[in-house]
Amino acid sequence: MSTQVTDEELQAYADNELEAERRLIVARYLADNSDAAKKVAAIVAQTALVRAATAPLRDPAIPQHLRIERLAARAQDRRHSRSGFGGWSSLVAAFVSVFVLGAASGWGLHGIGVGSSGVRPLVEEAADTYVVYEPDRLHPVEISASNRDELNTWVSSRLGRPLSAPDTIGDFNLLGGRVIATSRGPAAMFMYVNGLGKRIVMLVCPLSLHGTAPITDSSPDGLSGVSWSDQGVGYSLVGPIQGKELHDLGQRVRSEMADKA
Amino acid sequence: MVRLVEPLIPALRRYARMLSKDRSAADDLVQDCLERLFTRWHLRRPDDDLKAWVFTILHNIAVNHFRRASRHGRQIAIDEIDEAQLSFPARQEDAVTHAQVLAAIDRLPDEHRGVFLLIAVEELSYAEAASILDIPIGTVMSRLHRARARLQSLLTDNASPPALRIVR
Repeated sequence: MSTQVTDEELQAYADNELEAERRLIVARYLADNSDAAKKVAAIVAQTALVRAATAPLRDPAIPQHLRIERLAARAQDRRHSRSGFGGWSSLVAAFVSVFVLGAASGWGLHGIGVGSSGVRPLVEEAADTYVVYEPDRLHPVEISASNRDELNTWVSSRLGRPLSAPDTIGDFNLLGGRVIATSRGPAAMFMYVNGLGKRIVMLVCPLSLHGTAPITDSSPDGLSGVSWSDQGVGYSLVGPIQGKELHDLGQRVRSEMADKA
Repeated sequence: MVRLVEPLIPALRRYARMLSKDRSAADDLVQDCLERLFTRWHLRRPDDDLKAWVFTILHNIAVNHFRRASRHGRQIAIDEIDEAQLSFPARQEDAVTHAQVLAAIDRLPDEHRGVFLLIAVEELSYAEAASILDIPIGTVMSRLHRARARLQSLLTDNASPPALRIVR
């Protein structure tokens, strides 16, 4: 191994970019070579000075016009005034159509109903999801609760807003989840299981930017269902348990999610 | 996405601001960058380095912006850095004020400044900077080295009057 050390290598040493073996060689070289050691010290000192001088420019406050949610809303406005659907990503398109359709159906203003746009009540989407995935013993969820960070990151990115699945709902524990397709666009499905092996499903789907609606009970497909919305996100719980019990679970989740938000 | 990207915004704004020398343009560049993230988010691979990926998008937007600006005659506004430089308080000779550091970085050649900002300021690795700027790692190292040497001479050259700048 050569002990010839170039200025760029001294720089890489100062920047901690050398591999361990070479780093050791340069360190030994510096011990015997005060000129080189001074060069390294000068780089380190200059970098520290530059970082101190530039630190105030890293303003931790994010101005309103650069907030992600604000930009998503702006994108929707612009898209609204365009005729075509081209050029926009699936994410923005989904976000936007969810908003437009959600607003058209009056969801969040008049509770849950089928609007003229044909958007289905969220609780029905949740019941469909339940019917498809609940009986699946092999792959009821795409990402299991043991990888909940990955699950939360995935659904957050697809829904365009931060979302994390509650670990438990009453005595039901998170089994995992997946992104599913609904008439409103992508939604997050979280599945929970209790000690008796009974499963319930929670569906989460963006609706409009600020819609909020109280908890509503229903009984889709012989199951119990509840739905509500908070600040533009719709939630629905569906399961084979008593309506009263599910209503209580819904209330608990709702306050829990509100605390987190 | 919000949770992953928003923590990067302060660094993106700083980078855009120091790269463009033009504060008003910087936030526009960041905004363009964030909007482009929406349209490309689904293209991101899970093991991609998010910070490097976002900086790449911002850097490309900035370069295109400067290319357009130079075609139309670049406008340089008097920015805060210059004002600060003109009004910094008297100090001991060997003390370098932060404003002087910013002014000196501002005077680095464009291609050196980009490399320098990514590594010395934003603390990215050589490999990340090479990927963002789409240049070989050896070029990153040589530009970085020259940027540092130039900066050092600008900072030790305090006796000379501030360089005149063309305004508009």
